[in-house]
Amino acid sequence: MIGTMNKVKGVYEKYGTVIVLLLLVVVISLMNPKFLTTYNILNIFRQVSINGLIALGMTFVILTGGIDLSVGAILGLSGMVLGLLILAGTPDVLAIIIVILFGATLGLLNGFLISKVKLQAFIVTLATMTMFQGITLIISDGIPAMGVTSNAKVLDFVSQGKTLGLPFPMIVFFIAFFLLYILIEKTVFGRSVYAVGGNEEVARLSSIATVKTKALVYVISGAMAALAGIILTSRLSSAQPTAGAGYELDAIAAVVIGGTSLAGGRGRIFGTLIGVLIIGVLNNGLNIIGVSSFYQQVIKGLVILVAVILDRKSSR
Amino acid sequence: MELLMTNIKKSFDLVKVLKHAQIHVKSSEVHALMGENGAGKSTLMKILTGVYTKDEGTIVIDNKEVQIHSIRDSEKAKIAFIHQELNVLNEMSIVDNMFLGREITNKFGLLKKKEMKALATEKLQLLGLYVDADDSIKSISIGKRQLVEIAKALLLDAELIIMDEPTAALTEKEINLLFKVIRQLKEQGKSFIYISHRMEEIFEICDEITVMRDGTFIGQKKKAYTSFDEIVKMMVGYDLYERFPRIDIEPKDVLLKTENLTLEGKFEDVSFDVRAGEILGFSGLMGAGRTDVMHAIFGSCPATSGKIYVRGKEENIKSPKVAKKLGIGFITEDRKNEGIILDFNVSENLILPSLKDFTKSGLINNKMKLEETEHYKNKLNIKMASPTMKIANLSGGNQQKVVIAKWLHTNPSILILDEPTRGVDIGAKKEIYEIINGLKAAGVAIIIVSSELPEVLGICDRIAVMREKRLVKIFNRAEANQENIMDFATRG
Amino acid sequence: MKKVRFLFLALLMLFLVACGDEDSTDDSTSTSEDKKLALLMADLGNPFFHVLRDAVVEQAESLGYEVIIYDGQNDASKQPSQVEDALQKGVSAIVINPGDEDSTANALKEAIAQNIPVVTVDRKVNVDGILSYLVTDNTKGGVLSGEWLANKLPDGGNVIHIEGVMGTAPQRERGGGFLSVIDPAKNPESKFKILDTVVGDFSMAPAEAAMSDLLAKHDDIDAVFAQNDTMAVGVARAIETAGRDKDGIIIIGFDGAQEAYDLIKDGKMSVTAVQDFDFIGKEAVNFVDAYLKDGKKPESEVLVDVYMSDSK
Repeated sequence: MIGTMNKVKGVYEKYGTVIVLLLLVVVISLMNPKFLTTYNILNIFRQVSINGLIALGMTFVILTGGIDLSVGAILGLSGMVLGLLILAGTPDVLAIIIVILFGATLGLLNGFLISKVKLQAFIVTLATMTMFQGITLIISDGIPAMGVTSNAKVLDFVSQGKTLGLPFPMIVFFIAFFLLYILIEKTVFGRSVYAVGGNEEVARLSSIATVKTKALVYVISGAMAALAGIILTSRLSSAQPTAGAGYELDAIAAVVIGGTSLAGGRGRIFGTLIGVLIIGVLNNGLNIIGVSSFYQQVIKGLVILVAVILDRKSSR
Repeated sequence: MELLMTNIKKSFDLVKVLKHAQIHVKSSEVHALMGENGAGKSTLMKILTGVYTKDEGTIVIDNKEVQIHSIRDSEKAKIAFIHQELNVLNEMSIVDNMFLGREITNKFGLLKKKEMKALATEKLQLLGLYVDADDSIKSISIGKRQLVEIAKALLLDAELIIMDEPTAALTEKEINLLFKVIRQLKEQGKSFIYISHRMEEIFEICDEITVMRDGTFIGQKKKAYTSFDEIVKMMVGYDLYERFPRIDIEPKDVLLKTENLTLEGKFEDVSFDVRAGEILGFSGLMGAGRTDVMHAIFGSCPATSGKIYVRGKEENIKSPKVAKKLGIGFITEDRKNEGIILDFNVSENLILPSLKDFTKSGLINNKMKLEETEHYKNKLNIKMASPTMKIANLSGGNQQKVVIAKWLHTNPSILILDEPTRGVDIGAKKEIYEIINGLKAAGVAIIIVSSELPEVLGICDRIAVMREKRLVKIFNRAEANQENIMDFATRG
Repeated sequence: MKKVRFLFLALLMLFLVACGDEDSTDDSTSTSEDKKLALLMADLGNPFFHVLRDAVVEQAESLGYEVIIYDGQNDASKQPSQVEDALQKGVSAIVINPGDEDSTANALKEAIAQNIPVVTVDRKVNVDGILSYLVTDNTKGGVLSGEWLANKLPDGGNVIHIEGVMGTAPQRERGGGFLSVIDPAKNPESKFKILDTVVGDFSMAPAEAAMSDLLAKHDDIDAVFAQNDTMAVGVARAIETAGRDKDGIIIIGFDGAQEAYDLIKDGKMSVTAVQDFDFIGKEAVNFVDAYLKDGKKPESEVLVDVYMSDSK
């Protein structure tokens, strides 16, 4: 009896957020069948890929017990750098590689200040967020870079292209998910991330390179934000000077909905995938069933709360 | 493995922590390392395990001098350190914990989970631990986690295992299991360095005893040729005479009485009384419900049914505030989390429960605060550099004295002390007993919850034994001994 | 660690020096001390307002003013101290594009008390004594957009309405004007149907995302009214991405921004309601100049006309 109880509880614990997601899908599709068309499903995946990429990187950061508020600003700055590089005539493939490395470097700056100089992640990334936003305005003079994809075929493909009938951003997202899943679940580095977040002292005494681990998660986060910036720029075919503002909050929400503890050490990257989908389905679904924007915000807040409450209940 | 550390010296910021430390451990030996807090035991062990680097001295292993500069170096020398606050990550599985920092990977850098699990399971079973290594470590008891740590040491092929206060959080049964494992591994040629404050245990499990005091090697004794008293004398540097000072006075009125106190899932039907000038001991295994009863009396986690009488009057104690008004004081067992605020200084901690008494027109009066601290410093012999030093920098015994002082100021007529001497030096222990006796002479009704039987037998007038949420027996001091208390505490 | 700290401190100081306003170092050479004009912009992050800035600067300099420009960075709470700073510098006139209607009221009172002429552009400030308030007639622009659409599709059609930041005056007025023509609930003669109303926050990414969702929901969209051009560009991009560019969906924008004209030229957008910021900027400078020269007061509120355009 207790065995079955535990089993039920175990399933619930593991798939609590999946149940929330499925419920949302069922309810929305009952209210408007257009929701479950192939076009719309692919549309959702294409849209969530941006928040999704950021959230995947954010998961690493939060697992170490940190936070990265600068991801939105890194997205904006990377997008702008990409736009300016392309407009200056840089071949798009080269520009894409440069921008990903650039994002990783911005992340490294965060990581250095947090792990080596030992400042708090919240205040470091708050400061760099402001700086990066400012730098975006400086290099762009506040003017968007327009028509970025007009002469850049590869970049255009990044958002508009399809592979095997699937939107390319969706494929990028799933490849990133797969690689990061392997990294966190199957490698020594992944173990170190959990260990540092679980108890840094224990990790240190187990001869884990805690400083390196803490720095690297911000590098990953920065690179993922830059990748998201590339996709957004390609999607809009333009780099907006204020792009990415507030994106960090959606990413953090997705990670937390996915069951990762803000205190670090506990969580799964699969949960983040579900969290990202919950937010994406909600954004899209509320438009599809035509909920007024005022109510949309209330509903979104409620769903986040419910998902977190469910997770808390199940982890007791 | 034979280990010889000689003339080890180490300073931190000009403070000489180790002046002349030494230890000599032979193979197939359980070697106790004893000394009061601050004697340098931990520092010496941290040097051996590469957490610190020594300033001077030599480390010789199997007749070869070795250099240990990092945790990795000590692992290579086949030394493992099991820390007091077990180094486990609660959110990880048993196998992940065992392989933390030394995972096995394939040539692509991917973890070989199956292989690690098989190895872990093998070592665990060797110690008689039949659990699924994929289970989360928090799902097993603290005693078993201790064994997991030993299994982890075996994974490293450790020949010398250092254990720091391994039994602090274990039940009697778990301690026996641990000792069985230690003996079994000793037979196989492994050596142990065993650090503990519990004399009884040292004499039960160890073969050799090295005593340190003030960063200096004092002496090494064979267990067979020494005694409690000799070791204690070596540790504190003078004769302590009695370990448990006692005073005999006639108890007066009943100050506290409970009837059928029950909190579902925690304790049931607990009835007892305490008189003025009497010490009532609470004995029993961890988890028997002793601490929960005390929280109920103090109102921090009230009972669901039953009655509490204070000075003969029935009271509804629904919060600690009410308890405080009734003159009940409670010194909790978890000093670091419930007793003191580590970031505060000594006097700030001291005035915490009675802030109002130290205010003048709403502002905290610094002078009164410092005077009061000075008063208790002298009264309780608290060793501190100044009233404004951080409490975190005091030794365990002195921290505990501050906690006691904190409650003395509220003038309690009923005082509950939960594990009052845990983590306290033997010399300071005696001072704490004397403070308690002083209160007893002043007519305070005292309840002491303790897992150390000698302590309960030594200073209490009556002893209540709890087993599985119930109070099963109250002994008078004359009729109680270790055997019959354990019998009541464990008999199913 | 101390070295690192020192390094950071040194870097910060260097940066401050490097970023400092070069003009401030040669005050003595300034000849037009009595003729300074402060221009306070709500948000220079929005490129469209650069037209306004450029117009003010050009006109003011031609009349011999030195222009001090402040950027509120889309945060209205920054503007009061910018006003105070301008007064400190002894400006003789203020042209302000306020972030909201109240934040700068108190600060501007001080200016008015000193008899410094204040002209607000694009949004008013709730304080007495403002010389003049120049604003695009947003309601009229909305009406014109509606009428343009009714003219284009005499038999009516299905319309999507993309709104700006909720609660702002342009959002209310542009939407109100448009709906007064198109929404059957407000105009019984309208043959149109509002399929959906979504919020695009006056920026591109949210408008693109919302439009993508609506393209999944509806396959009978005839026209989209976006309350500014930035959102219109996002809408056009969403239609292109969805492969629906052959549907002939009409896109109406608002502002007259360069990117809108580019899209119209490519046939991806139809028309935009043009705010004449060039005119507004120049006129604002003319008002303060006339007042300073011979105390002439313009009308206290000037609504600047909007016109529909499909080419610059």
